[in-house]
Amino acid sequence: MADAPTLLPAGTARRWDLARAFLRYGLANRTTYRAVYWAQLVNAVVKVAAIALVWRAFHAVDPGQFPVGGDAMIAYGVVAALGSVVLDWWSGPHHYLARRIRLGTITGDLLRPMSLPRQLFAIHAGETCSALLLLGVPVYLGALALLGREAAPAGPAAGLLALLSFALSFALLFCCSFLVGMIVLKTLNLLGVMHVYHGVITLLSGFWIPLWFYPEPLRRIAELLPFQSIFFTPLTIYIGHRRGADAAVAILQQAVWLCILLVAVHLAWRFMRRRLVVQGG
Amino acid sequence: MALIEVDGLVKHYRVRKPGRSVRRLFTRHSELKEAVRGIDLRVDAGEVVGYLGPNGAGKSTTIKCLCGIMAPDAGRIRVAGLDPSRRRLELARRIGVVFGQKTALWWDLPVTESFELLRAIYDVPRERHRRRLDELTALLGLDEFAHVPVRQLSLGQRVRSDLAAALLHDPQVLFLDEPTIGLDAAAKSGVRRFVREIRARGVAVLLTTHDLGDIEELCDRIVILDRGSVLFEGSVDEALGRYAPHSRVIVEFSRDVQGTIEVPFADSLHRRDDRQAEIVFKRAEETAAAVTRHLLDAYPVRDLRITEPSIEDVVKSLYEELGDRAGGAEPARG
Ligand SMILES: Nc1ncnc2c1ncn2[C@@H]1O[C@H](COP(=O)(O)OP(=O)(O)OP(=O)(O)O)[C@@H](O)[C@H]1O
Ligand SMILES: [Mg+2]
Repeated sequence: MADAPTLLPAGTARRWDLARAFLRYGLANRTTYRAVYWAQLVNAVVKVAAIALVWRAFHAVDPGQFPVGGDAMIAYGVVAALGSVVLDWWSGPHHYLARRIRLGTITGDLLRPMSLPRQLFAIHAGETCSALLLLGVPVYLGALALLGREAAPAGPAAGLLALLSFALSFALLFCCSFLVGMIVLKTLNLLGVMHVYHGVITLLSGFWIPLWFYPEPLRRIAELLPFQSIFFTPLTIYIGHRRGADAAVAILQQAVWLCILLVAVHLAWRFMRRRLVVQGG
Repeated sequence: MALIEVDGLVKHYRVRKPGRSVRRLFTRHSELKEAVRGIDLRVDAGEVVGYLGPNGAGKSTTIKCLCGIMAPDAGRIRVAGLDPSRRRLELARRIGVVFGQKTALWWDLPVTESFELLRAIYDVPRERHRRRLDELTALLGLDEFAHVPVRQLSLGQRVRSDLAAALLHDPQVLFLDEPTIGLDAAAKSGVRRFVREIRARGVAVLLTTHDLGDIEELCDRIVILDRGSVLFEGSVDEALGRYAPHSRVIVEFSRDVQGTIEVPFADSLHRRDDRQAEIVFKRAEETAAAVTRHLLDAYPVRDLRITEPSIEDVVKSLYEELGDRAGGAEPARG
């Protein structure tokens, strides 16, 4: 029952073909409902603007409370807001799985010559890229134009490293969501699990509030978990709070977490795969 | 060449033991429910086999084991030469599956986009894909809704799209689980025409259906299942010979005929009134031609009607019989 990895031919042409097809899927899906797209765009703009205003105000009141300058703090908020729009963790693989199970169409996914984790990864990658192209990039460019230094990375190196770090964040978030999806499969309770998951990410990833403002015990806990690798790491690299060796270690930590989570995904799927009882018919 | 070979397939489900609701929260007692118990099956290339049986007989369970999405508990399965539960992903390239009640397509995606995604997943070369798609589009009339998202399709349109999706990668084996359920007469005949076309290309088709028209028009052979075991296997004619061996002639006389009517070989004879009679005879022993010739020679016949039993009669009487037998042993059956 092993989903042998060799089944996805190693040829790069094939990889490109798949990537293109799933990107098209993502774009088609996001543009199906025009109203939804415009609402998402407005939502992204509002989020970015609000968070920028809030941090600017706080920083002006008491700069001594912040370990970073005002510009950096605003950039942190702006990119965090954009990150939450692009790396959306409401509608990830867990959401897709729950819906396909409920509709009974999961059989269709299981009948394809690609293992379910791979399919979900490809679909999620397509959706995330479409969010990046249709929401992330335009709002980011707008923010750069309007806010200038307040939205820009600490430097070109910081920007590139942050990009790499965000790519790892995407994979990390995928693994977390996939594991949540396995729990949903087991319990058939999407909403309850989702609320907990949403809460955990919001609290422990440092995406609304940087971890340095957390009380000591909570910060300790957050540092032991993979979630801070998802947002806190790339954001602190972007604003230059972590640079050089610091940044390298943080990215390495992300990579280690990714390896651990990939193993967990593999094991969880192997476990579920054998027990999966396909309902209905 | 056998593309589906099944020997002694067994599959059971683990179900919660019925019990009082609160106690169920604390105990994990479960029992095994045998859905399929020891089935043998063979389907050759270019053959359509009807897989029949009353509700809950184990048809869908068998299909799920054959296409590798559920592991059997015992038995040997080979589909297109592969063991489905061990080599599911490889097998997926060689089979097509349509479950009539549920789509395998992506809900929000237009039909053509779904096909494009499938092309990439199955790694079909572009040129071959285009030819295949043109062919399927013509056969199934897909062009009228090619750019409509799947969720906006009518049932018949959706089933046609699913059939096309199942055949895009040119499978050797096709599983159809109630493909005509809920379709109107025209759509049904379209699907049947399509299945015949597929058969002509040498695909092995295993068809589950409750539609007797499907059976009569499509099946080279039928397998009738009851509570997880094979009850009958053979051609439609053999099923008719075994379970509905009688034909009848209804004769109307031009004037009253009194007294008994004599027909050699008649199994039974019912007088409806002085003007009408019904003669029942075994097809194996006498032909309808001989019976009518005798009647025309001996009596003043105004009109004659010959009725042959259909597969519908077989299935109806068989399922009713099965239902009666099951009724004693296992009262609650869904
Ligand atoms: N997920 C499941 N859990 C427990 N029992 C199941 C499950 N799925 C099916 N069964 C039981 O297994 C038996 C066979 O079911 P199956 O779906 O194979 O029947 P079927 O022949 O396809 O019937 P139908 O004509 O109604 O579609 C039934 O008694 C059913 O109640
Ligand atoms: Mg069924």
